Amino acid sequence: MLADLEVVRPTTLAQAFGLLSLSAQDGEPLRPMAGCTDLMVDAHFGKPMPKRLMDLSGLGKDLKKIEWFPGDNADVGLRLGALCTYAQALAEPILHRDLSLLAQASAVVGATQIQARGTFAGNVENASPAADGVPALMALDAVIVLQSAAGQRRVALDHYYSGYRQTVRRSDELIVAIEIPSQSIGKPGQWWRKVGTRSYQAITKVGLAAVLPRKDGQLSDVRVVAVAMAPSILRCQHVEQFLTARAQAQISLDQLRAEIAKDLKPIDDIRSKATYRAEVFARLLEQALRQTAP
Amino acid sequence: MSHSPHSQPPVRPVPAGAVRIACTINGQAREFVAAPMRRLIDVLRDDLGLVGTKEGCGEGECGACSILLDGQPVNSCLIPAIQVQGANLTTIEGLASRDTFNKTVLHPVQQAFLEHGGAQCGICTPGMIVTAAWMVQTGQPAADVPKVLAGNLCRCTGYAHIVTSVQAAVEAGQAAGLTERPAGEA
Amino acid sequence: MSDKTAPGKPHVGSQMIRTDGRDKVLGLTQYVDDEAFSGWHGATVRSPVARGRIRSIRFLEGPDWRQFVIVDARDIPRFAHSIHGADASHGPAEAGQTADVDLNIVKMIVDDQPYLVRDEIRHKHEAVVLLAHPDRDLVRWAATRVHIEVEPLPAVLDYRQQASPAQIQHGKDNIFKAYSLRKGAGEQEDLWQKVLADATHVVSGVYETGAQEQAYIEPQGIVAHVELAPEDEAHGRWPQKPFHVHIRGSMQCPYYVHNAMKHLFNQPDDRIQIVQTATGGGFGGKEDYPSIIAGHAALLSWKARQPVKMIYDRVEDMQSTTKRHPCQTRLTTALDAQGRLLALEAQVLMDGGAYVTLSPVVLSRGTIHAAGPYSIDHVRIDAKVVLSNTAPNGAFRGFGAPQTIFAMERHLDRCAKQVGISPAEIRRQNLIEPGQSLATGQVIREPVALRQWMQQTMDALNYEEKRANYKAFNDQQLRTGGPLRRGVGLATFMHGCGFTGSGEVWLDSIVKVRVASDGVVEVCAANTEMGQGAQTVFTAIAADALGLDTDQIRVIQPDTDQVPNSGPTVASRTSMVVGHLVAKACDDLVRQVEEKGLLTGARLLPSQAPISEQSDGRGRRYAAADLQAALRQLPGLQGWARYQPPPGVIWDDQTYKGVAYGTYGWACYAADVQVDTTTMEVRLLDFVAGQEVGRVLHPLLAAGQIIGGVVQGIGWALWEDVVLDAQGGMANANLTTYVLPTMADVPEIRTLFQEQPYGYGPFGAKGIGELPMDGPAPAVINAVAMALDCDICSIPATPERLLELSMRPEGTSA
Repeated sequence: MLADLEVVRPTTLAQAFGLLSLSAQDGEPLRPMAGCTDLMVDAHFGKPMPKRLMDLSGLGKDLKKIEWFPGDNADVGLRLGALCTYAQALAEPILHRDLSLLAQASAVVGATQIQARGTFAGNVENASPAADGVPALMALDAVIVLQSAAGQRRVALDHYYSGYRQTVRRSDELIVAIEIPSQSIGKPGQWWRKVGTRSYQAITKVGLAAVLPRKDGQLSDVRVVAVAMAPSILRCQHVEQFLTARAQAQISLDQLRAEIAKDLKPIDDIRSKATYRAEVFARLLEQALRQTAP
Repeated sequence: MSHSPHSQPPVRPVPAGAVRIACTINGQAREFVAAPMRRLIDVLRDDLGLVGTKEGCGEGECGACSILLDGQPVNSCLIPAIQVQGANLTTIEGLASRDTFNKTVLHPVQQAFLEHGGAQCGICTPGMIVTAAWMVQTGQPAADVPKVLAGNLCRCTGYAHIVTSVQAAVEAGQAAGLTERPAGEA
Repeated sequence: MSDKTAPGKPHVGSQMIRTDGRDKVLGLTQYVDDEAFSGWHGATVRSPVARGRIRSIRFLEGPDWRQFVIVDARDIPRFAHSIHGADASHGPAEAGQTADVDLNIVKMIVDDQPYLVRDEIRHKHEAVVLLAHPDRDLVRWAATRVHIEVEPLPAVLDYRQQASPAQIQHGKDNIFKAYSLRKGAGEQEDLWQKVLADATHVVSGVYETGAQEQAYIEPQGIVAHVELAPEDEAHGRWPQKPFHVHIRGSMQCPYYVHNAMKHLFNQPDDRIQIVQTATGGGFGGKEDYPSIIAGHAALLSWKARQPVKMIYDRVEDMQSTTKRHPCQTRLTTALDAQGRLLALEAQVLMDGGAYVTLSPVVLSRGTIHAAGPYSIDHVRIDAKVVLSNTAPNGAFRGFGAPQTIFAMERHLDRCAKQVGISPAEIRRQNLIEPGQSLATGQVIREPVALRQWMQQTMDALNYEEKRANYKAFNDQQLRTGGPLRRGVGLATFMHGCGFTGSGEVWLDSIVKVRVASDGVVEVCAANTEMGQGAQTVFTAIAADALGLDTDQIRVIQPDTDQVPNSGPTVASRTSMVVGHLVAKACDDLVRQVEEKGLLTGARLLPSQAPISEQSDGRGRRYAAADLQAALRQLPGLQGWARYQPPPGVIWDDQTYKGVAYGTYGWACYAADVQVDTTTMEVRLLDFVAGQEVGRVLHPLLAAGQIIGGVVQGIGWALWEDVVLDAQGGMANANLTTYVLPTMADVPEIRTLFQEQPYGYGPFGAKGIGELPMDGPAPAVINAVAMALDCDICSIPATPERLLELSMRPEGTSA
């Protein structure tokens, strides 16, 4: 029962790293919690809970910032603090101008109340295959900044998942920020679509986050990220390879279907069907290619 | 049945890890002791008697439990008590004011719901009104009502009269200069 | 402030502020879980399988079981006559009889459903064990620590399949109820075959509609307090002495719960008190089910010797309470070259779930509405509702009619296509006119003008122009590889107001008005406010019937100790049937005041006709001040009214012939949709709901009722899908995966009202509660079928199903 859970609430980052490393050593690691929009739902439905939790709500002054890194230079990337919420990001004009992918994705996460609490970092760490924030970040080559008492390391988001609901984070580490590199900011060909069960308050049935730039009429440096099509959010390597250096006219829907089948094996579940997911994903990709064509 | 009832109720234990939490609710400083993961909705309803906030689903889907936490609408069924340490909360009970004769004066959104048929069975109404009051306060455009209130489910009205209620309040709020920010800025 | 109407102006037809509105917008309204409560909390342990025999019940480690009160079927006595012994005179008639009576029966139509499983489980999530404890969270957790071991038995998980002998659980064939309706050549096989042979077109189709969850936002909840005689207090046994049962809770029909508690506890009327608390939506879901929770809470209260509260959480509510009956309708129609319907054959099959509950009545309404508002000379309808091992299906707004109306309206569009005329034209050809008869043989006497009303709906939507434009739009999209398709759709239909046939006579409803000590007139009726505005409408009717202002009227919260039985709050009957009784009871009150000679002022109205029979609501017999002065001298004075059927309502339950309903609401709905063929998502662009309702008692409330029903209908058509697991339990029993429409999913629904006053409703009003549920699904699906040019015959038409359908070879339907 929830009443029995142990919760610590550090108020400085140093405390947080200390607590994490202690707990990692004694074999009962602390699970960080931020917006709790997934954790509290799991608790309500009686799903297995971590025994010990670390509430991050006391770390707002360190982890809630949205800033340019490394300095105030227009040529650099964007850094979202681990406690940055969707609502907070949506209030940033730059998001709408240069990171339309992320803006569009953030605007339909749950609805108003969820956007006010849910964080990008929480979404990343929760590792749902139907996550809303992760696909846009992954298509924008986001990097996860992990920190512990021992130091900091950076992991590309597309290498962050090691299996179904599993991440490479060590139990003494905390996500402190998510960085979007400068090359991704304002990158052309950003395309995003969530097919949910309804307009808002919807879980994604199938989704596509893509960046499809053209160089001399040919696709180059593409990103194709699939949502709710695999055990985790996934970059489609075969599809990306297939698209690279091809011109629009050389791509057919049948080819896309075939390439997608190499990357993704969607399943039937309570929300949708494998056949629907596979077919609609192919159609979305075709539409994305058409709509991002110069 | 081998299990016979015990005639005396057991003493409800205060969980070992319970913490003291201080926050502001509807403008008043409040303190309570709760298990850290106790749902805020249970604190409000069961511990503090603020039963205007309703539970419709317990999973953050229906919005009936919406309150304002530091000025933002949230589902109180998804907030652990420990996260309101030092926070400022507004519930449906905190929206109306009192005039010089101590008579209740409805918040403009409450008045609009009354006049435009925004409330039917009334169970989604507190959450709906709290979210709408935030919309008015933050000066969001009337056209955004369906988007902003999509996290508040209603099964009676088919939404039309809620939309007209909130739009009327948003427009009245803009006319009266009640809003914090200019319309159009989210 | 509570009344926008100027003094002296009629309230009926005005936009008076709803009487419960102020408390609701302030969040002050107390629902059952909001009321101050000191007592214990109950929880239910439920069966894990569709069907089986209980082998053992094990209480697992964890909870300290000594702290819990535990009730199972063995606690409920089987023999009524042995209970009271010498005190049998306190019990109802059956207590004195020697026949065996099992008290473990939820009293409804057929005595087949137990409060707690005795030995054989009939559906997953059926109640087996009850627990009570002072801590709500603890008792809910403890309920998960009880293991029920079951020997499985063959279960019926698809109602459409013929049951094998091992699956038979009800009678010889699992059929709960069957009806046959015949008209014209429908009576005789040879004539019938001739009609079919002579027809230019014969069109057949199979139509399916799914289960639907009522999804009131306030889950079900009851507080029970069983007050035992002192002698029984000390014992844990079934009480020997008479006792009181008090129930408070969220419900539509206090007297249904009253009747159920009377039987469960074998106590006379006056020992059972049922109070309705503010109810956060019902839609049929709180018609019969509250009797079960009341029984459970009361059983725990008896054993715990404490008040016990049971509030379902959303998951438990969706898993265990009733749903709309899934239904399969096979239709065959014969038409002439112009598209006139010559004959209609319908075979209706409904899924009753595990127990009979209200299925016979739901099926009845479905049967009667199956042929729609059309003049068809030859009809045969065979309808049956069968058992399946799922939670019982029950009442949901529309009550069987939406299912068969969906089939008929969808079928008509398919007929039109075959005949080569438009959907509007086939309806014009067949809509009923005064003097013609419905399938039951009921001759329409009201001056209905359905063609004209249909045209008004079509004009409001701009139907004809859109239909032409959308054909061009779809062609253009197809040519250019565009993903969008658009369509418009119509549905014309009617809904019978009040109980079917002789049902209202059988209900024998009574309403009382009484003068309180402050001179205010109190309306005492058992009908409940659950959002639809009953309290406001009763207030307006009483105020106008008496010629008083609304602050002189108080509608009493339904409490069986205080209000007479004016029947259940169902079947679109509250405003029309009970509202009429409110007006008549007010007439009775004024008559008595007149007789006492206390009215000194002049009579303002020359007509002697009772106000309740006047349709304009402007009759004021005395100046308000005069009547008020007289009433203040007469505290305790009561006016009464008892239901009397309108003349000519004669119904034969055996042959299903006659006047099924005193009157009908008539309607034409039109939908305008866009489908994105990339994802097969359907978006409503516009929707017009036009209906004839007798008299609009309150424009805002009436529109609210209609729009709310329309959106439920749209949800049923497109998104709301009850998914069953391998044991027939609801697999998506939560509001994340059971998809209700949000504010962003529906357009602003537009309403049109026609008014032709009905002589036996208050100020001309008919019932409107259920009507709006009937039309949206066929209107929307007809529009989707036009948009996609495909043959959709089942709902919900989820994107997954539409995609599957669109990828099938030509000519197959789904």
